[in-house]
Amino acid sequence: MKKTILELKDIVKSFPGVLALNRLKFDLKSGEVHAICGENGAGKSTLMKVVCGVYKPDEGEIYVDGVPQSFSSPLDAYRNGVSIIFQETSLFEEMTVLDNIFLGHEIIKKKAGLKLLDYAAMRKKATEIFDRLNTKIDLNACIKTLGMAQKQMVEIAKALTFDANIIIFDEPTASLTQREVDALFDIINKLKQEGRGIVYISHRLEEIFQICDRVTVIRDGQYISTRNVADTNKDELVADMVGRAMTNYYPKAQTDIGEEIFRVEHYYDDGFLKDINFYVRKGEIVGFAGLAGCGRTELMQSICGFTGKAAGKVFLNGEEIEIHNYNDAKNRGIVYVSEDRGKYGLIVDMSIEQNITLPQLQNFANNMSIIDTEKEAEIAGKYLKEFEIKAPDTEFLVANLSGGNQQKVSVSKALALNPTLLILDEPTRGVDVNAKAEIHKIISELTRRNLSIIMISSELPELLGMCDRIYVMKDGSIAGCFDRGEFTQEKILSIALD
Amino acid sequence: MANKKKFKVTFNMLLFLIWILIFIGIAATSPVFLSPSYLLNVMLRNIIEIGMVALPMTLIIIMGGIDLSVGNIMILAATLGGLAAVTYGSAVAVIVTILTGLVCGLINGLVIVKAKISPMVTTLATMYLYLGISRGISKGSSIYSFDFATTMGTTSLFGIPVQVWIYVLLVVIFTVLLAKTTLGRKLYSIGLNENATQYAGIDVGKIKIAMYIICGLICALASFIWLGRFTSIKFDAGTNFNMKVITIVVLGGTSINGGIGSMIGTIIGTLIIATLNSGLTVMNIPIDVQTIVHGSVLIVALIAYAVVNSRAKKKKLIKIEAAPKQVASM
Repeated sequence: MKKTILELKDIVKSFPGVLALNRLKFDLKSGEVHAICGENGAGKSTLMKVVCGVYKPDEGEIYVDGVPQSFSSPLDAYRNGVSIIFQETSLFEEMTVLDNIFLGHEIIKKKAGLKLLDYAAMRKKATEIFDRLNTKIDLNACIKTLGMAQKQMVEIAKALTFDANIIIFDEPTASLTQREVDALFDIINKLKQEGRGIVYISHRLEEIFQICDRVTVIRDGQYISTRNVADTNKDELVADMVGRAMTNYYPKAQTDIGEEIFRVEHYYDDGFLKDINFYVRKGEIVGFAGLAGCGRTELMQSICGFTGKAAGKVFLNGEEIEIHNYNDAKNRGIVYVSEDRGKYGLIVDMSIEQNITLPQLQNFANNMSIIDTEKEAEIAGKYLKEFEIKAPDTEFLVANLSGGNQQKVSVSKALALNPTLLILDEPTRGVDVNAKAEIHKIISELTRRNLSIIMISSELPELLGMCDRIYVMKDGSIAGCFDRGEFTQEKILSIALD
Repeated sequence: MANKKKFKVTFNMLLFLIWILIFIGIAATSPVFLSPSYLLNVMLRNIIEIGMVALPMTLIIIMGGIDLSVGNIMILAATLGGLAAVTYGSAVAVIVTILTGLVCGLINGLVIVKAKISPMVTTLATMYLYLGISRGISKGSSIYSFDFATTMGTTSLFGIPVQVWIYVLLVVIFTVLLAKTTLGRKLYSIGLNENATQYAGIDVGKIKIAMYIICGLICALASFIWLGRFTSIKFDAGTNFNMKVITIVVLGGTSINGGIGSMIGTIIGTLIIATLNSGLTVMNIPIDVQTIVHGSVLIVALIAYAVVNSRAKKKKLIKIEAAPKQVASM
């Protein structure tokens, strides 16, 4: 009988304005690989960060080997046999492999009353572990000289030096080649045979069927189901992941799509973006799908003039235009709403009205450049009301708003510029379910006003629900395009993953 | 909200109170301090150059920068101006002085914006650069005042020193600029989040360079007054000047990390330092004790600032409730 080595009960974790985990449960047995899957933003990574002490849960218990635990930091978790291998590796680029593996728990020897690092012992232990993993890595190599797969090996070795009984892999294959993935799976199988428990976080369903024993699906921070991989199939998991109520979230308005207003031809930059062609019509919502790093954001930012040089033709209303910086784009009515609200989208320590007017301050000032704050409050008040932004007044700090309301401010800021083409980059990232529906409603309404919208999203259901057309990007080029009515999740995924 | 109009204690009020207390304390022990001629001709005149440069320095620190080279720009401008005056006369000297300030500020701005080197390191380097040039050009000997500088440093208008008039004019301009204009708003937004400011289509680089140039120009203006007041200067005169200017700005509640601060704070900060400097001298308190008092006042002000702000910053978050606990499990 396999025993339960990790159990999570009723885990609740909220961030300002967002309930990330809502009474989640999970259990892991020794010698099994248990997958956690769910869409982007479902709470997979947050859950594991709670387990290994990066975040403190608001409520709920964590049991390791039947004993309640609460780790204060990942190192604390490591020492108690729980290791996590993060999506982006947490290694120190400038240090050697050996130093990284033993960082924070170096082997010490005592000599003449001094505590010194025992490199010989560390080297011996590291060599043993890499032998067990059937991997050869130069222990003196600097991390920055290693490839992605090798870095992951170092992380795994680090986990094994703690003799971790529970190893969590957070989307480990995101940046690996097929051959490297196979090697990784060999190692996971080996760890499993040694009786360790593996938590495998991924949204790639094929991998789950390849390597996992059980799979737990979470959605919007809530527990949905746990199934034996042998007894389930892809459709069942997708249904769990997407949920049945999805149609309600996407109140797509019926609009008459007009003539073409924006066209990009043979667009490329030095290196990444390759021969991109697409167009947008009046009143149309055009989606851009693809995996993380496929170049959607880079393309839009390049078109808007944020990033370096690019070549190709860009037409607005049939006329060829040149955009050298964002001001050129903005003045022509092409407005970009960033995916990262806190970093690029908003100045969170400023008020709602100050954020909305920032891109066009000169329009809110007299000819002496003195700002008319009443005029600012007026326009901000208009959006506050129209989009039902939950704030006491327009002087409220954006930092104190929830994610959804911050996003509404971001969109208001763009709309105040009277755009003809609105580019929304992940408009519902980090926003809870209800706010999502509200934002979708707003986007839908905008197309009624003849606005054209480009929408980048990593959530396929969102694109499927909202868009009239979807372009699929892969490795910096456009790999396919589907009209509403012919696109399905499968068709898009098959091109994006390919 | 109903309580929006409620009286709130701001940092500037506290700072003002600190100044009044110091002022009364000193005036009570040495009545001579209170005479108008002492206040104008000693207390204010001694702080004018520092106070003047603190104005553009506030703008720079609010946008997340710093300029450690201001004192050395001032001395270099005075040195070149003074030397030009000897050969070419006062008019040319004025032009040379102003150009020096402009070029020094431009160099700071260009290196910071174009080479993307941190303002702290850049201006630390130019501080030595400008110091070295001053020394080399003056060959280590004194530089003497010329007509225009003497006028700026020693004459009075309606019984008030001319430099005080200039300072008051600058105070009005800089206060309005920071608090009311689009440029002022942009400076705050750069200091709070440079990326997002850039993504709003604002030319951050241009604004930064402009601010360092303005700072250089004000340094040049201050150099006339400084040279006129002392009639002669040496290359190393500006060394303490840099830190004094930054001290005033920080004392005034401007965050060294940028994004937070006000011109009023800087002005009250200037008055506090001016009062302490002259007041403690009047009271015959030795210079070492004076320095200790300076440090202590700065600490008190910074703590007051932290207290006021932590109370103002208490966030009003909208709490989200988790689902009720389920009794049955699957």
